[in-house]
Amino acid sequence: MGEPAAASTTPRLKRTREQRKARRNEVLAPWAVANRLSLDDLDPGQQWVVFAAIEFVSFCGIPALARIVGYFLGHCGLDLGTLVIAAVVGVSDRSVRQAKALTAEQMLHSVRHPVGGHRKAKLKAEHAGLVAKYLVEHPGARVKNVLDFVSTQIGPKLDRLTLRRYLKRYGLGCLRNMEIAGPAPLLSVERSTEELSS
Amino acid sequence: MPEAVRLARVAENCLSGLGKAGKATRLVLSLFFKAILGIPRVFHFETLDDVGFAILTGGKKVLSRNTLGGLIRAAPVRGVLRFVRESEPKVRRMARHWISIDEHAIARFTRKFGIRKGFHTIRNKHMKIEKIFCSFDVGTRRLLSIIVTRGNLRLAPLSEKLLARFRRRARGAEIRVILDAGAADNHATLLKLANRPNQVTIVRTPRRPAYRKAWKALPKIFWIDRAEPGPYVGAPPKWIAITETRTTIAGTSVRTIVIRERARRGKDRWHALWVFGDDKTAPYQLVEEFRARQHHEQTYRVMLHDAYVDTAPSGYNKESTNPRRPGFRQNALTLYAWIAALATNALDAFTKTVPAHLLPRGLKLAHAHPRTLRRWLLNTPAEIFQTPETLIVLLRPRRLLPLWRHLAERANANPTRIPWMGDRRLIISLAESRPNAHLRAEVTFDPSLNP
Repeated sequence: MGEPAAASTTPRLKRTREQRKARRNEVLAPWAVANRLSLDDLDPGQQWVVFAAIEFVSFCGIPALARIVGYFLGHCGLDLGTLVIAAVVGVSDRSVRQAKALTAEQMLHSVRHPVGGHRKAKLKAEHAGLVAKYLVEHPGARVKNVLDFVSTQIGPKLDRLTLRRYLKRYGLGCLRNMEIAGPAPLLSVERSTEELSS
Repeated sequence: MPEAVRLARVAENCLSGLGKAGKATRLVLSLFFKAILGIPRVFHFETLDDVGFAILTGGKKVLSRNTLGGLIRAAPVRGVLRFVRESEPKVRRMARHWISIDEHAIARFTRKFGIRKGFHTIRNKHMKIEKIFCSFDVGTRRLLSIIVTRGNLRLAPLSEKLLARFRRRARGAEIRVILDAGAADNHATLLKLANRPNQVTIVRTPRRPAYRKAWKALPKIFWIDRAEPGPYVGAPPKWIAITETRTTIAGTSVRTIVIRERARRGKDRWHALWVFGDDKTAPYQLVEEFRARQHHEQTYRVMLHDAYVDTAPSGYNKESTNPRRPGFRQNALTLYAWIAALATNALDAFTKTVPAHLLPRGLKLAHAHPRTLRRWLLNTPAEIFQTPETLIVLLRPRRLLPLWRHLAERANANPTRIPWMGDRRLIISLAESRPNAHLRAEVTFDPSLNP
């Protein structure tokens, strides 16, 4: 039991240049295969930086530090693509793009105050009533009209797909034509007073 | 709303004897929201045509008074008692519970039927009544269980029944029972009730001249003076003197705490407590424990004036062929009173979840009266939109907007599914536009103005 502890406290011996190169190839080759990247697209300098980043990320294991590494790679001037950075950090290329667009202060703030879970929806459940009322009052409204209404009266600017998902989530599509598919207790007689009293 | 959904589920399980599915739900929900919204009597249902209330009560129209009254009386007794058992609030696991048990009398004005008489304390007269006995958790201020009886039954034997129910739920915890003087009218019954292991019983001693003479004869050196806060802020302190003695009842010596309240004018007032099963706790601490019983009385007041429990259908049989002995059925009275109690519990529990920092200065809603809640929150105009998956309530609050935003967010984070509306999700929405929306072009989103 004492041996591994002693080994971990022993300072690592300095490797030769060939040994470091062999280690780099040993790390990068499976990483490139796993992430469907081609190492030929990276010049030796980029490969060294990517190797260093992979080693550091696997060493620290803290997501916040990994995000900082991603931010560094995005702005280090080596023109590493977002796909490569995303593969190093272990996030999607979309989040790398979003992080890259932040200023240094914003990045620091986001690391200090991380937001848990996914990004909050711009159009919340509390707004469903306003959208429903608009759809009922304007049965002929087009998507553009609804988007204008949302941006003018509620605030967030949405694209068509987000609006479509929102309407689907709350089943608001039916309100446009004032039709309800399927059983609707309020519009049926199955629970009416008359029936219960009979 | 989650409480209503829970009750609807329990009702469908327990009151299936009413017949077709949905009847039990409608009955229970109608009574529950009647108490929540403060509709005084069943016959007011005749004039209710609010769609929102109809949805709350599980249908497209509000039940007529005849239908509702018929359902209440048709509910099977066993089903109702099972409903009470299954809808009793959960008891937290604690080492010690403070339970108050008290009665409430409902006056019955009938000359035709020879029902039993009892003492109506509010009216201060012996008259025809029916009684409700409830156990009450002093810590959480919730009514725990109910028994309804004829007017001649007394507190001590009924407390025994309610305590037997509670002991099973307390799982061996110590029970400190607080009782009013009504439990002390029969010493043998009181001793039987009090002499239980793991139970402390504090009973207000009835004021009788013989007791008072004995207390007055206690030497002055035994009395400890104490100043208490006056009846209002800035009032002069109220002086009381407190001592401890022993009284023999039915051959048993009982610890007695005596309080002499100094009168500003006229005679001093005397209060005394009999304490069973506890010789260690300091007298003043026992007095404070007993005073917590006031929350129970206050809850009865709320049930009477806000949930209108006194308008409960009678327990005696109005169709009886022998009006001199009409009999007594527990079903309607139990169901009506217990649902009023649950509604009172639900409203009080709701007030405890309202964050105080979202209220304007000077407004406190913790333990607020239902009428206050109705005035500030429940009486809010709204529109309802029904979709295949959701029921969207678009509220138009005029006051307490930060609180409404918080409540809507909390409700929508985990939306309640309404079983009587095809498991639709309840979405609470607020009709408040973004600030300065009126400064923007309002016509751009109106399709009728499209070229």
